[in-house]
Amino acid sequence: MTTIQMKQLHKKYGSHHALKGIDLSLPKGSLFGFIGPNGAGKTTTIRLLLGMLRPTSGQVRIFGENCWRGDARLRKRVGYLPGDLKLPTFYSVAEAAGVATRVYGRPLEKAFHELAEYFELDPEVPVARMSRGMRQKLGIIMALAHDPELLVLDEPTTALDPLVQGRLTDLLRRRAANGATVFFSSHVLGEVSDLCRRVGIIRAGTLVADEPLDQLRKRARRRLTIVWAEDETPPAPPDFLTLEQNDGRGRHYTMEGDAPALLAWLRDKKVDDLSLSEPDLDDLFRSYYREEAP
Amino acid sequence: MIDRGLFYKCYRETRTMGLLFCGGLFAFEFFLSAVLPMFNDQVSSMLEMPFIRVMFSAMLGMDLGDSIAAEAMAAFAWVHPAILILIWTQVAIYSVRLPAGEIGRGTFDLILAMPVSRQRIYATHTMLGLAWGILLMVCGVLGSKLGALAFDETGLRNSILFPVVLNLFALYLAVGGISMLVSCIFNRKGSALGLVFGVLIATLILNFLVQLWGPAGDLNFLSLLEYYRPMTIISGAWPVTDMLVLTTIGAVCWLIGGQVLKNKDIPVL
Repeated sequence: MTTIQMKQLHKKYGSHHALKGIDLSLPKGSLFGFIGPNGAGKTTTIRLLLGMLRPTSGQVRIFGENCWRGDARLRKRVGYLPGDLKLPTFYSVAEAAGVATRVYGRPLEKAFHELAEYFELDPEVPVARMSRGMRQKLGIIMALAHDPELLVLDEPTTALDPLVQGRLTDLLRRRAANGATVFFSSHVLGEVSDLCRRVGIIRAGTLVADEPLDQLRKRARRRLTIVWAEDETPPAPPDFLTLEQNDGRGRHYTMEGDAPALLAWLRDKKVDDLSLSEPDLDDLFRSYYREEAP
Repeated sequence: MIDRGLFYKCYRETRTMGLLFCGGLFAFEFFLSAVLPMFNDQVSSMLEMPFIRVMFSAMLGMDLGDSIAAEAMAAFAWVHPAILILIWTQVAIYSVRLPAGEIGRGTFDLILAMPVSRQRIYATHTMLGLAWGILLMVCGVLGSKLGALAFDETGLRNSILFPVVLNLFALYLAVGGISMLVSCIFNRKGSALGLVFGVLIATLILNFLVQLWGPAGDLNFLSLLEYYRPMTIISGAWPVTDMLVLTTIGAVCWLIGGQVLKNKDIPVL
């Protein structure tokens, strides 16, 4: 079952073409990371998804329903955390629970208090006396409390300490395992790669990549250091290696591709030592952010 | 029609302001109802001065002649500029807080994320505005009655007070409708309030200008105060047409505002 479906989605603000034909389909239970630099179109995509903006052309659907003209009850199935979260000053966990209970038409106080306990947030403190991190926790609780089938989170870890970030990640994984779809927008690669199984990269209104994180890892460059044996003349590197630094017997390379090719190349060569780093996703993403995609 | 949760949220956010305005109107009406009759003779003698007479005529919507009756003096408590400014300020500030105020504050996203349609959000906000308007009128009437009672004055008869307050409530609806339309067009509360107060100040100025400069009379139909004239009520006429005009202005603006909101892109500011 498809939770989110975007087809040739375009959005223009006057002469500015903010989204240039986004195609995306997310099945139920996806953990999707949506990343891109500031101004790339992440927030516009999210606002189209939530029916706050009308597409210039193309389609955006949630659970098969048109997001712009769809029934408001559709949003009972969606939890949303805005990127630049602003809350009413009288809100506390208890007050927000009271409002949500009335709006959603079912008791949510228990869920609010359980989540507040999980995120260690005092339920009685009003927003006016909250720190930024506390407000962010309340925003997350409001997005999660009604147990939505789709979670749209725009920069959710902003202002959260690493411990709380970890708790949020755990909770989102559990929700996804129970069938919820998570649309996780960020410009920080680390938090996306920790959580998401699939990643979309948006740049200048275009989705330049949309693939499983494992695939991206395979394409990411790694740093390779080989200390050649004394009686071995370091050979010219093959296509998948680029020599970056020469320290005599020690040679530093960047490697594209996976390990079997490297092992095949080294099979008949004498090596004293070798170290291979984790795939450098940061580098790969930076290459997407640059003017020309790889 | 309305959403209970959103109604409660709007109420909590406007409670302090609303109660302050209600208290203010109560106090003003109490004070004016108690004090104005004491100055009846002085005001009558002041009316011999043409400029003062023009000012009173502009406020009450009818030429008073050379003297002012006690009832006309009591009616002045319902057209005093301070009263009008108080009521207009309340309704304008309340009306522009959604959507313009919420968009400007960045809190409208959370409202739109709720399972409530834009029309229902608009209707809920309107219903609370109407409730505040009714409470404001009730506080005004209570202030007026208690003020007269406390100082042993007669005040306005109920048969006059009731249509005056209804006419004032129609004026409240007109200003509210205009403010909500402006709020749906603009994305910032400040800009919306600026335009609404511009319209209201123009109304006040036009109302006085008509008394001072004859040709301005042709434009008087544009002034909202042309449709709020307590003196005509004191003279025995029910201001049905005036109330209809004001209510229609409010309703048409409100309906257009609703359509604007329904089709509006909600930006991030």
